[in-house]
Amino acid sequence: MSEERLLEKITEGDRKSFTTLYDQFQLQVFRTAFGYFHNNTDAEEIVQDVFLEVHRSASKFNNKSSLNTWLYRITVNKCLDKLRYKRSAKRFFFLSAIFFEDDVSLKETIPDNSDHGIDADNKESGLIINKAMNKLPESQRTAFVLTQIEDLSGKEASEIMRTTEKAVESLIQRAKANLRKELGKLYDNRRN
Amino acid sequence: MKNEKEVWIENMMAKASTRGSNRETKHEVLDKILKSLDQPEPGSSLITYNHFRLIGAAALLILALNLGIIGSAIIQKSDSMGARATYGLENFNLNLY
Repeated sequence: MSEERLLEKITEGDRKSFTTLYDQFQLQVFRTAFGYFHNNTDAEEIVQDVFLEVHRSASKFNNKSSLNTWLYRITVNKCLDKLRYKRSAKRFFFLSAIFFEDDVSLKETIPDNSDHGIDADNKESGLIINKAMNKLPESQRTAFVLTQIEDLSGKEASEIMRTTEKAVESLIQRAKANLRKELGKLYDNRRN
Repeated sequence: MKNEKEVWIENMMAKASTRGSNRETKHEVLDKILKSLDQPEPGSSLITYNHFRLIGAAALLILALNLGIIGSAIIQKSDSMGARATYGLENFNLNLY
């Protein structure tokens, strides 16, 4: 079945087509999201958000880009939205912590960062990498995830990010340099 | 010869570049999606990024209004002081009793 037809059927409400699409792309979406968050809980939430968005927007898909590129774009946008939300929430909780001793109702809106079924060493590495990657600007982080984790070519990444290949190359170089710098700082902090 | 710090950084860089997980997402994830599709879209109970922006904008607006009120009160006060000074009324005692 062609991509267009598959999405048409999803728009018509065909659950079987939706499940087919899910089975085909869930791993790709999960991996990309994992590249952003380095924990399973957040990655699974992104999978959920992405496929709900796909269901809502299936009728809007045009054949200007491939289904793959379209799905990557939705995934990247959802990941960036979640990152922004987390940053804002962090600031908000910092302020609320000053005024209120323990605001449980607000804390419940932040997802648990713990990962079940992942060993302690990987969990610690994940937290360190996440900390270092949080310092990267969004565009550098996206270029890094798409090319280094998803193994996409510069051309594919540039189509998803709607920029040039050269710009993507430059973003990757800067992302790597910044990541090294941040990891160096984290290493020093651990030592002191 | 790389020192311990460089080796650690290289190790972390390699981990950051690896596909973190090749496992399938849990079946519950698809179940949750399908359940959500069956339900009418509820308003999200989460505080979204836009809510934060809205709260921030409202706070700035309130602050600007307060500053405006305080500012205009100061101007009014200084105007009346100026007028009293002009007519030589600053020491004029209105207490006739």
